[in-house]
Amino acid sequence: MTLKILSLIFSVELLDTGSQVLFKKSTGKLDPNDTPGLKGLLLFLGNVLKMPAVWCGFLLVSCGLLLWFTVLAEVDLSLAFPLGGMRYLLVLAASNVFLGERIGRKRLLGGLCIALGIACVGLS
Amino acid sequence: MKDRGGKLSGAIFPLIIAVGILNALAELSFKRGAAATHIHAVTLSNLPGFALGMLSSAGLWTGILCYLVMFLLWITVLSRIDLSVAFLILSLDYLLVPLFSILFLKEAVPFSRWVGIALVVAGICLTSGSAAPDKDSRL
Repeated sequence: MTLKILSLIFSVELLDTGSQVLFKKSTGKLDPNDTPGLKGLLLFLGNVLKMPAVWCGFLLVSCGLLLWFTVLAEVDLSLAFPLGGMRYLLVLAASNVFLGERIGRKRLLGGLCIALGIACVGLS
Repeated sequence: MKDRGGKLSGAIFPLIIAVGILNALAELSFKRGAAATHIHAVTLSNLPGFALGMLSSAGLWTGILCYLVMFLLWITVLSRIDLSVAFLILSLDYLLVPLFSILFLKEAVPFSRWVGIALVVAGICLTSGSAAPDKDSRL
């Protein structure tokens, strides 16, 4: 486990967070409840795929996956798992900064519990 | 958008759980794909070989298929609730994967891991609670 792996993992998490923000942005103005049923769902998905944000999101996911594959090849993943919790805190921060979602005390505490729990799972 | 952003309806949970399961399956497939390349540390010199190995592995393509289906479900979830709520609930994977391992692979999960899982579940409960339009839960 080296600095190379740590920076790879951190980059993957950042790319992942970015893609989530873009996916959320591309659905923000659309409501699948506008037209009910399967037709409405397909209409909604079609509209989502017309948004440039969703394609930027795909690009980030693909870059993240490529980096992640090189991480997966490493034998020693002992640090990768406990660090996995950091993505939940990154997404919390990004949701607030880029999407204007209000993060209350409860939700923040929830995120911290999850990150801590994942660290415990990863270290055990 | 923000007013309805926080509300959690019961119908959204099965969707998030399905996304979680697909995500875990994709991870497993990708890991199998990487293992099938027999390369244990990727460097610039063995990168082409690694890429070819991945492309010809079944794991890569199964994982991508899971990702595609997952995306369709996930985008529906995101259109209804806050990203911060939906994403935190996705950590349910940390409960689902050990449960599956116990049920189907007869794996033993050490006690210390259950402590971590309990923390994750507590975090999910707090997050779900925060999604209700409750003044006390806002800063």
